Amino acid sequence: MLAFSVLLHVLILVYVSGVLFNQTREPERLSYKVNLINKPVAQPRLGRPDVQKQVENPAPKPPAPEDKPKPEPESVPKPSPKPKPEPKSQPKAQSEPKAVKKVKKPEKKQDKSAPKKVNPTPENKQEVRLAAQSPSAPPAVQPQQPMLSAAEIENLYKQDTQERIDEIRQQKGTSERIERLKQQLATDKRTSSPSTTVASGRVGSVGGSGSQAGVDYTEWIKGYLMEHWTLPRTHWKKELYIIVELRFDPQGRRRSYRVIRSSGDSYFDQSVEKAVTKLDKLPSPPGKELSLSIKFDPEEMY
Amino acid sequence: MKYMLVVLLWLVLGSGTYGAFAADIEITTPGRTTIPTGQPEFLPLGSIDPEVERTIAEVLAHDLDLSGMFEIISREAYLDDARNLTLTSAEVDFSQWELLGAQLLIKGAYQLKGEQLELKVRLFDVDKRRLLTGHNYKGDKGDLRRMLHRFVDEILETLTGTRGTFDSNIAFISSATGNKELYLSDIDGHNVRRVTNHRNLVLNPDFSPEGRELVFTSYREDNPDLYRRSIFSAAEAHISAREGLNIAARYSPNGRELAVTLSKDGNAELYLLGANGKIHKRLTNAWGIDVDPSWSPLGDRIAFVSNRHGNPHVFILDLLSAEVERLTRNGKYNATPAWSPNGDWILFTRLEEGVFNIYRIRPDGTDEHPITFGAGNKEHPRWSPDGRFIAYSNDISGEKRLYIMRSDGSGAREVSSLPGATSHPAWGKR
Repeated sequence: MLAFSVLLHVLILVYVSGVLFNQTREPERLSYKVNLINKPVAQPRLGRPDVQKQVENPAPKPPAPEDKPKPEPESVPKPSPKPKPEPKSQPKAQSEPKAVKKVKKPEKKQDKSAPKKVNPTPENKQEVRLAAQSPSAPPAVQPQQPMLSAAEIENLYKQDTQERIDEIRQQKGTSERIERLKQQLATDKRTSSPSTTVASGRVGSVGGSGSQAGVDYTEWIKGYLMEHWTLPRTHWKKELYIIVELRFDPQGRRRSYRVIRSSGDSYFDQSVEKAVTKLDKLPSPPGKELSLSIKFDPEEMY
Repeated sequence: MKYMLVVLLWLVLGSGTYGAFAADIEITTPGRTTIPTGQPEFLPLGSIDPEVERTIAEVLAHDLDLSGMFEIISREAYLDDARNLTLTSAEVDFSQWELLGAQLLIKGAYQLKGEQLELKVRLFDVDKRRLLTGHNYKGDKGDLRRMLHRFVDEILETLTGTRGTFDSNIAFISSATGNKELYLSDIDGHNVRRVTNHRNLVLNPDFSPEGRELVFTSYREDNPDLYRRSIFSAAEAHISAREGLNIAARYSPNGRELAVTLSKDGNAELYLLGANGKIHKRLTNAWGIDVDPSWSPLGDRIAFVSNRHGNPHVFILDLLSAEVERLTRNGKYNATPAWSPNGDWILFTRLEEGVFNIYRIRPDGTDEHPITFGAGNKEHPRWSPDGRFIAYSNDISGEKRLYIMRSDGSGAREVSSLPGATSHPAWGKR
């Protein structure tokens, strides 16, 4: 019986190793592309931090119970114009270590996305550290911080939950206020989209009113154009990029398409034009004219 | 002061405008990297010939796949337009292809009259519902592969503005006869023709820029001498038989000169020869060996390998200033540089952990990275004239065999059809 078992094990080993070693095919290059950028991030530079604080909270019904800093980005409320509040950076902290594991060249990617991130507030930093220190996190992140004792971690959790509770309490107040404002707006005059109105009403934009309204549409437009853009790898070259300008009327119809800076390669330019001309109309009327510059710049991946 | 102002203005208006331009949206990943294409089987206009149909399917599949631009939509999904002999934009039912998500459509038909073949091929833009390009080829049945290669070249030209090089030649060295001789074949390994019968060692071919001639090294007279030969006739000239090495000759981009390694004075150095073999100039003078020249597309610089600093590394010689600059700084053994026809990359091979793999690097020394991986020595990379593909040899099967791949290292495939070792490819125009 034992002999049989041993034999079986040996046979399996031989079989497995045989399968492994017989693979003479050239290994294909593995590269994972993880999209760390395409998140519902509004352009932070347009927001006023003090206003953000208020706007960030109005989770209509924040699911977060008090036990864990687990809650995910879902809690982001729909109608908020959303210049990126804290709940956002938290899932990032959790997903990043994963990316480190998978992506072949994470440094580059992260570098790229780095400037888009908002500086974490102190509590966020704590959360980041927490994620990094949790046992499941890869060691890569660790060396920067000294190890925390179990008690300290416990403490951090507690502190964190307390903050959460406070937050929720506060939210109750703010969400009521928001409700009131909404009603006021509705009666005031029906402007087409409450989101944009709230955006221009509550979050002061530094560079004027138009761009702030655009914030709501940029992610949608970005996703749409990305999906409809076909470009063979033969044309993913460092030197090839194009900047175009799209204008939409208040009803959301595309009014014009203009090349600001051609790539110099007609095929590349055409591929972008094809994608752009498919975008006839925005999903909902922005209520005002929209003008966006868009850069198509595929990264050559090595 | 005025100068300063001008410079400042230039900086602000000229260079600053786009370099630091922050667009509202930046898109760095296209959703698709291949064009969904409908390509139904070519239909017979007269009698059916299974062999012709098989060849059409095989050549188109190979070329379209190698180009890396297309994704052929599965034939099982095709609707009845695929079975209709509709070859004009008025007749094609584009809505069917649109339904399948096709952006392009390739259709065709053939007619066989004895040994005479007529091939009708069309490329349509499904979105715009119009014909992009089309041809009626007439010729021998034996010309079928060439007609198809040519049509794919035409497709690439229509779409990208740069003609393909599927209808071209690869010269290579094969030991099929027992001796290493020079051969020519189509780029997919078909249609092999033997060029030399030196019954000795032949090495390192290079095409003249117009593709009409080859230069190569042969030991026919027991010394590595340089020969030039027409690919259309048996005309052959013995152009350099200096003592020692006469090897690795490369035509200059204008075809008038050859960069070559000679060791007539004891040490292997680079020289510039006229097409007749006369020495025009000595290019290098260092204690190490200087070999494997590769011209920049403008002909103003030459990349080569030298061990002047100890290990073999790639250097670049500026022909005007005669200055030599070191290109590669990593690795211990770098060899056989190949400057791309567009000038954007220099390929070379690096020996690491006992295996040669192909790397590429910018002529300014940046962006160095491997494009082949794993076991099997990949050696002697050479560009296709359009810069889209690379031919090289790989000995993963135990023997050197000819491979081609795309310029980024993807889509590698074996293309040798002769038995025995095949190596030293050179890619020529047709």
